[in-house]
Amino acid sequence: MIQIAHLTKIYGKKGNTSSAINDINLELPDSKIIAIVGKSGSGKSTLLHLIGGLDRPTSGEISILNKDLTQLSKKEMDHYRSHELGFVFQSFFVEANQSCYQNVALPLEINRIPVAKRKALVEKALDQVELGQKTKVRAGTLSGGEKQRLAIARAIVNGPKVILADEPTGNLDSVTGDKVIDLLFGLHKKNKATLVIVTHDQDIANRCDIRVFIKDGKIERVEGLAK
Amino acid sequence: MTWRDTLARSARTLRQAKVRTLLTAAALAVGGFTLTATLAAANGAKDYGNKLVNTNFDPSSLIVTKSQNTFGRGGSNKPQPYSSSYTSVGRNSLVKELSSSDLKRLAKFPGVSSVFEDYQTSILYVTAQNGAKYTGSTQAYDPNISHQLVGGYVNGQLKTGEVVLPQDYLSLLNLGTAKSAIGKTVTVQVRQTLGGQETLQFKIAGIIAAPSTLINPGNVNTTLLLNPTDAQNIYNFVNYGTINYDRFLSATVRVTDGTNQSKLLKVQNEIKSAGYGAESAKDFEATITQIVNVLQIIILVFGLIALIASFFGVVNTQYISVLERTREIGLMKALGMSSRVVSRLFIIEAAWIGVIGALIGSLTAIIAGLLLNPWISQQIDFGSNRLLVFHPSQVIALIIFLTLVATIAGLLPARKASKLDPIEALRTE
Ligand SMILES: Nc1ncnc2c1ncn2[C@@H]1O[C@H](COP(=O)(O)OP(=O)(O)OP(=O)(O)O)[C@@H](O)[C@H]1O
Ligand SMILES: [Mg+2]
Repeated sequence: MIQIAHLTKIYGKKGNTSSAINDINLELPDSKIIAIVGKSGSGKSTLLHLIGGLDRPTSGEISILNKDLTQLSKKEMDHYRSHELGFVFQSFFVEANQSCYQNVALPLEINRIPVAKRKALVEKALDQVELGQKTKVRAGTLSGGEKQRLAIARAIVNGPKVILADEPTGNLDSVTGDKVIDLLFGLHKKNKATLVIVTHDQDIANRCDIRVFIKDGKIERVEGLAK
Repeated sequence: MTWRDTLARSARTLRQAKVRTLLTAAALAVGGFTLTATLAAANGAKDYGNKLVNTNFDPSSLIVTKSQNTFGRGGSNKPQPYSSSYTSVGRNSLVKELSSSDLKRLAKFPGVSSVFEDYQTSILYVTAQNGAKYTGSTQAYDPNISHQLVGGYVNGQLKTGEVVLPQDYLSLLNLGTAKSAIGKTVTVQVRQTLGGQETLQFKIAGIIAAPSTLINPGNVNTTLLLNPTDAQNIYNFVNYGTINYDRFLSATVRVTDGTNQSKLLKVQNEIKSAGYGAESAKDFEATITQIVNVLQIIILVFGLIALIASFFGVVNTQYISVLERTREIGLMKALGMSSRVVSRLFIIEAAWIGVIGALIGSLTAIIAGLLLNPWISQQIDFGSNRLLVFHPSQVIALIIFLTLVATIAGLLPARKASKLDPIEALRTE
């Protein structure tokens, strides 16, 4: 469960501040697909970064999997990100000079997974995104859709409980984008990890279990939550 | 991230930027090359110095002279108060010499086991059966100096009537090989300063090689070595009636347990405080080493300048590398890599550059040294000795040192990398 209470994030220094997230309260169940929808600048990415422990709130509470993120030390936060989360970003953050294998192996290296176990995990993840044949290919030579699939493989390789995707189709054409979304949804069916997708695409949002609409850093409305 | 993965990952990153890595390493290699070569040259020069001293001086003795000014000066060009120990050397220089009473006094110093006079005497000529006559000189054989005999064998001191002959005379006097010459007789003709002459016969007991390390090779290559009594007789005969009779430029004072430096030094100081000049093998060595050291320091400074330049080269390269890889660093941090590991990645990259640079520098220096050594030896009359002597332990220490320098250079850029905010990094498109 993701529990958010009075969450506020203010950027800038005294006298010139702007609140990207403004007193948000939210409870999201586990193992659902959640869409965060809103216009540009509404605070979607900021919210995702706070959930992902990449950023710290100015005030308020945020707890995931019974962990109070505001109480975590830097080290515990690193551990949280590397063990519980998978990230997929808008512009495909792959290491262009490394092979597909090396890209996907990175989270396992960070988690000190022994070399012997790594190979099977990496190959499984690559198979799941249909890149099983491209293990040794340099990531820089992949197409946009392939790069995003590679990023997804990297996000799922450590078996995360929560996957955070910030506009995963933002830089893709609609056909390729749909394929990436299909892939994410398909994987969700298998691993049941909570999937949070930031998007401004209404079609994608409609396919999600829960839709959180954000405007000017506040929640406008939430759809799909059984109350 | 494990150390193994960190090492592999940074090595991979460097391999992907081969040109940049090699260029940065090249700067370090120049420093490594200079330092390796300098150290090797110092080793060679020191070895040579040691050999020079050991083949010319007995390490357990002191060379004693009448006055402390004798070494390094032929005489004085100012009027000096008269002293009965003055002897003229050449036409117009004066040198104070030791008399037999000085020698007796020296022998009585505590710790002195024996006193050995310098009997170097010019002879008229030496000849053998073929009748050819050649110049030369005679001197007492000193069993405590390591002589390089190429023929014959001398056990301890020579017997009276025996001679150790320099190799050069073999062909001149038609004596055959170094082996077959042993046991043959040479005739020595000596002439008194006052006019009389004497003919002496000596049996060849050994042939001495023209040594590659001699302070005064021109002299020693023509010196016939004799039993001290024979050498003394010739000296006294030649100088009979002159001011040189019973006077000696120097004497070798052997010290009991003289290989023990502190004992040698104690006797040396006592002899010196009695007004004599006294130099040990170490002192001669020090003079040689001093020259070597000055040269070494000069080259070392150049090596260090190259090193400082390459230090900033590594800093610069790594800084740019951090800037170029902002997104990659952001990604790694977003995936939960700790700041410490990020910093370690960059430090190890710098260390790799250090290892590569040091290896290139040292290996080129070693290869160049081994190839050029014979040529260098020829150029500087080093004989069979080698100027560049590489000690593996030194080379390894140097490689470690250069790696350390590069590692330290990598600290600041690594710190910058570890401080990067992942969100900022991910925002950069
Ligand atoms: N580091 C920052 N410093 C100052 N302001 C920031 C910072 N990060 C975000 N903001 C501001 O906070 C607000 C929300 O930004 P955010 O990136 O969350 O929007 P978004 O909904 O993801 O927009 P988009 O759809 O364009 O990605 C914006 O007004 C943005 O300018
Ligand atoms: Mg955004």
